[in-house]
Amino acid sequence: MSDYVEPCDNISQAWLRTLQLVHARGGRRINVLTTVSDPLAPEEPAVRAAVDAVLLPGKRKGKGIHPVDTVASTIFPQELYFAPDLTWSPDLDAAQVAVLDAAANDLYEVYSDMLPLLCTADGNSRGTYFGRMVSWPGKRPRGVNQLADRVKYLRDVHRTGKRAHNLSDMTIGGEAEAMTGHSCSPDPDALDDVGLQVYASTDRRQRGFPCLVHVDFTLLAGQLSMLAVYRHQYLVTKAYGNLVGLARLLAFLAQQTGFAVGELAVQATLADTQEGDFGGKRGIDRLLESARLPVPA
Amino acid sequence: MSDYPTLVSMNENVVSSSGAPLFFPAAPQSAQPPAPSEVPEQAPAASQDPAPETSCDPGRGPTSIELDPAAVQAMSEVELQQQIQQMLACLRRRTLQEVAAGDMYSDGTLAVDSMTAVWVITTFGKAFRRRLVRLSDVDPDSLRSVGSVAKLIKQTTASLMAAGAA
Repeated sequence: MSDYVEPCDNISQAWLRTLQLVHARGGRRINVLTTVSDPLAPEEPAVRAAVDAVLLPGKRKGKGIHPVDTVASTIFPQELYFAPDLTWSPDLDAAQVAVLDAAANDLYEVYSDMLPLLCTADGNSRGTYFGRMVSWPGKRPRGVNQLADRVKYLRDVHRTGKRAHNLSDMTIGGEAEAMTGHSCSPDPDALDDVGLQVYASTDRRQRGFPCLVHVDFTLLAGQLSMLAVYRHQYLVTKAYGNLVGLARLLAFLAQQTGFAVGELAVQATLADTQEGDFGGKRGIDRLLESARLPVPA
Repeated sequence: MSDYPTLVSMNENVVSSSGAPLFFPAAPQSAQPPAPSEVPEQAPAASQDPAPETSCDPGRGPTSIELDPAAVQAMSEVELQQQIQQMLACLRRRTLQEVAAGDMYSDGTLAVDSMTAVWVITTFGKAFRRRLVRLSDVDPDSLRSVGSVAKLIKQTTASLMAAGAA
């Protein structure tokens, strides 16, 4: 039975309510949809502190445990993106666009150069999510940069929408996908799919990387929204960091294309509270309880 | 807002944030990358020794950094720390003073996140045309500060010297 978590105002609540729901229904559920209405809203300190307390770096039952920011960096390495105080717009002058482009290109190139070394870390032998986004198939530099392609495409859409005075109704990833195959396409070179491919046909592992298999973007009413599909969402060790990383990725795309940030949704084909690794049902109870406690001053 | 057919009512699109880069550390707005003179400025407070030159083309950014392997091997750990701080200035397109004003780690040198540490090691590795380490073999504590990264690079490049001599 599919499960639906009522949309939440911020990442912290979205994570907490998802964990609560799956825990209350047995610890493992299929097709769980989680939505964050405002992905850039501040996190809630009590919830974040509870997650951080559980995710102390090290090993647990032989599995590596990584802090939230480390998990988030697998999706968007914010530490390597030095954003200028600019948001892309068709009205920016060439010098301003150059500054914005330089920040993005630095990120792409620096990360791409790092890939061979990053792949020597535990768990990275098949590449990284962000590597697959900026250098497909993700283990070597100078692969296909899907993210740069999406930035270019969305900027083109932004320009076209301005001209048509109809930007607010344009959809990408939904209606626009069908549109690009027809003569009414605003751009004959338009991408057929605005989503990001993170899953390869050669990925045969049933568990582990890649758990994130697809990221889709939809533009509606001037807002860029995201849906990420996970085939296995580990709710304690990964889900919070995944939400943070996805929100950062969405913010990056919004800044680079001039659209507002819409909602962030995550569809987990299997959501797992990992109670076997975290003290059973009582362990998850304690985690949920600690997330509700106020943070000491 | 996502829709779900079993729900009776859903709010229409909520007011969302503006798309401003709230998640990112905003750099000062500038239509130009930092001028060459801004990048390799005065050495940080850690040492008064003159900082070694870093070749960083501000027009091309951090991937243009070129390090001389012989010079790297001749550097002390303190000099390597200075070198790394210059590289961070190039990466972040900030001045050396701005970089040096960052948080300190418990070893008294600038704190870095592990992703940035990996970039530093990658960049040194490019000078030697090889991967300096396997990350799975590296103690995570070696990726937490400029000092610990400098120490790691000193150790790994020293062994390269020994291998070359043999």
